[in-house]
Amino acid sequence: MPDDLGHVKQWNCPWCFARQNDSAGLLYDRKKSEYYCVKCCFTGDSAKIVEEYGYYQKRYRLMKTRLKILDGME
Amino acid sequence: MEELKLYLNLTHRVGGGNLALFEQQQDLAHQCGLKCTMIVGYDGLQNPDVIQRVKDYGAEYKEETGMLLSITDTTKSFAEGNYTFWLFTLEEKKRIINESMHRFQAVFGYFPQILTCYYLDAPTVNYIKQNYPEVEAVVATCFEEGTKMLRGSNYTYYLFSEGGPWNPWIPSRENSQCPARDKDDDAGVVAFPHLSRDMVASIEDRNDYFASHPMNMTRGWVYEGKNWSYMYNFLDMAVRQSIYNDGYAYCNVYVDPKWIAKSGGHDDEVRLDIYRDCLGYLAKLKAKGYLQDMGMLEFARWYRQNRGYNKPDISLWQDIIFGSEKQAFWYIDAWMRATVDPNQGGAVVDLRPYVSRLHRPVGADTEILYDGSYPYILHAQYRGGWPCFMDTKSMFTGAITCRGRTVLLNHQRTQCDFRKEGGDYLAIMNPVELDFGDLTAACMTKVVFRGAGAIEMQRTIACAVPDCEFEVLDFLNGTCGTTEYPTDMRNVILGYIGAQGDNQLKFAYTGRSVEVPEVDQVYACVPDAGTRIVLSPGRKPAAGLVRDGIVTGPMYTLGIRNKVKAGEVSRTCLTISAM
Repeated sequence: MPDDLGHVKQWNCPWCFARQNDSAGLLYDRKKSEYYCVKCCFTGDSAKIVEEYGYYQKRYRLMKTRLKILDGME
Repeated sequence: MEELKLYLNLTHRVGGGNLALFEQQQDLAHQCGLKCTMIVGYDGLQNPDVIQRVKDYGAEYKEETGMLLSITDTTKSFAEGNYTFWLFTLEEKKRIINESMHRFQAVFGYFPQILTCYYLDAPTVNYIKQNYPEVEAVVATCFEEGTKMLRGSNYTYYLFSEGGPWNPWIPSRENSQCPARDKDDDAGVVAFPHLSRDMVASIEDRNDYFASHPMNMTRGWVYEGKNWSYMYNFLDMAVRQSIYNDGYAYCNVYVDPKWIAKSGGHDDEVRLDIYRDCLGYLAKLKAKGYLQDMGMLEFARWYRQNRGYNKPDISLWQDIIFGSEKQAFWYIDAWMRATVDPNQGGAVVDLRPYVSRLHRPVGADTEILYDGSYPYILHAQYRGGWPCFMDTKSMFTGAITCRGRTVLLNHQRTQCDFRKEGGDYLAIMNPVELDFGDLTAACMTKVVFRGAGAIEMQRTIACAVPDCEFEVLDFLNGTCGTTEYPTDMRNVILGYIGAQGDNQLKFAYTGRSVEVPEVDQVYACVPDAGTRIVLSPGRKPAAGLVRDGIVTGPMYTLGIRNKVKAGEVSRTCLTISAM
C-alpha cells in the first residue's frame, strides 16, 4: 500500500521467490490498490506479501537459533 | 588439534557516486580494528574526492588499493555494448584493461596489483599477467553461480561459473577455473572467489543468499526482525573449515557501499545494523584468536608461501539453516573437484575433471559465449532419468547384494568425518545398517582421494554370520554438461578391458548393457569433457558392467562387481585422465 506521500514499496514477488527468483519486481495497480506480478498470478497488498514470505521462511528451521559451533563464541 | 584460523579479506568497493557510504563502511571497519582492501571502480578514478579519500585511508591504515574491471564508459549508457566485463570480446577486454590500468596509474602513481571482477577466463588473466606483471591477486569466480543464478535473476544475469574453486587458488594458464599443477601451469596470480558460500546450500540451489555478504541474507529472508543468527553461524562454520585444512580457512567479505543504504525494500531498517554486527563479530573472532585479517595482496603472498600447488582443500560443511543435519564434503586439487553426499551414503554426486584443462574462454567472440562453468562428468542434481540403472541419478555409488536381496547404498543416510592418512584424503562415512530380510549387516564406506585423479571407494561389511559372502557393485552413472539440460552423448565411447582385449561400444541411446565375468577395467571416453573415466577392481577376479543410456536417462553406467566376505574390504578405483 502506498505511504502518505504516495510511494509504493519495492517488493519482489513472493511466489516467484519461492522458485528462487528474487528479481520479479511487483508492479502496483493504484485503481485496485494491490501489487501484481507479471511473471505469475500473484496479487496482494503488503500484508499478503509479508505473509507469503513468512510461509517461505518456515523452511529455515535454524534461522533464529544460535548454534554452538566454536568454543567460546555462542 | 591444529589452531583454528580463518583468513579474512574484508573488501570495500568505491565508485564515483557513493563516497559517503564507502567512508561509513571504512570507518565502521576501522572502529572494529579490521583491515580493509579498497577497490576503486573506473568511475571512481574520475572523481578527485574519491581518489584523495582512498589515498588518505591507504596512508593512515596501511591499506591496499585495487581496481574493479568493468566498463570504461562512465555515462551508464552501455555504449560499449555489454555491461559485464567478462563477456566482451578479448580485444575489447584488452582495451578496457589498458585504459583502466593507465588511468589508475595516472591517479595513484602505480599499476594496481589487485584486480577484481566476477569472472576472469584464462586468456584474460594471461594477458593481464603478461602486460602488467605487478598484478598478483585477481577475483575470478563466483562459486557455483550459473543456471541457478540465471533463473534466479529472471534471466538477466549471465554469470556461469559452476565447477570452480570455493577458496583462493593459483589458476592454471589453460583454464582459470582449475588450480595450477606446477610452476609451468601457474598463471602468475592468486585467484579469489567473489564471496565465500554456504557449502550445503550451494548444492541445492542459488547460494548468494547464503554467503559471506551479510546483506545478501536479507535478500534470502534469512532473518526475522533483529535476529540474524545465521550470519554468526555461517562465520563460525567458516572458521571450522580450518580443522580439515591444517589450520587454514578462508573468508571473503566483499561489500559494495550500496548495500548499507536504504533501497525501498523490506530490509531498509536493518541493512546497516547487520553490517555493523558483522564487522563487530569478525572483530570478536579476531580477539579470540580465530581470525586473521589481511589485505588481498598480503593474503596472496601468504597463500603462495603456505599453500601453493598440490595442496588439496577440503570443506566439510553442516546444514546450519534448514535443521536437516545434512553435511556436504568437498575435495579439490589440480586434477578434480568432487562433492560427496553423506546424505546419500557417501555417493560422489558432482565431479569436475580438471585433469583435462578444457580451453573455455568466454565472451562475445567465443564459441561458448557466456558459459564459463567447468563441465561435470557426473552430477546428481542435474542428471537423472527414468528408467535408468538402479533408478539412480548421475553419481558414483554402490549396491550390496546378499541372499537374493539388494540394498542401494545411496538410500542409506549417514554422516561423515574427515581424516588424512599419508597423502590420502578420506571422507569416512558412519556405518549404515543393511537389511537383507533374515540377515542384517553394517557397511562402512570410505571415499579415498589419492591424488592424480584417483578416487577409491572402499566398503567394509560387518556381519554376525561368519563367512557370509556379499556382492558389492560399485557403479557410476556418467554424463557430461554444464547446465541442467542433457547434452548429446553420442560421441562417448564405452568399453571394457580384460582377457579378451579392449572391447568398445558407442553411446547410442539403446539402453543395452554388457556384463563381463572378469575385467581389468571398464571405461568411458567423453570427448566433451576431454576425459577418460576408468573403473577398476581392487582385487581380481571381478565382474564388469557397461551400459548404454537412453534418451530419457542420458547417462552411461560403468560398474565393478566385487565379492567379499564379512570383515574384508571391497575396493573399486575411479580414475580420470586427459584424453
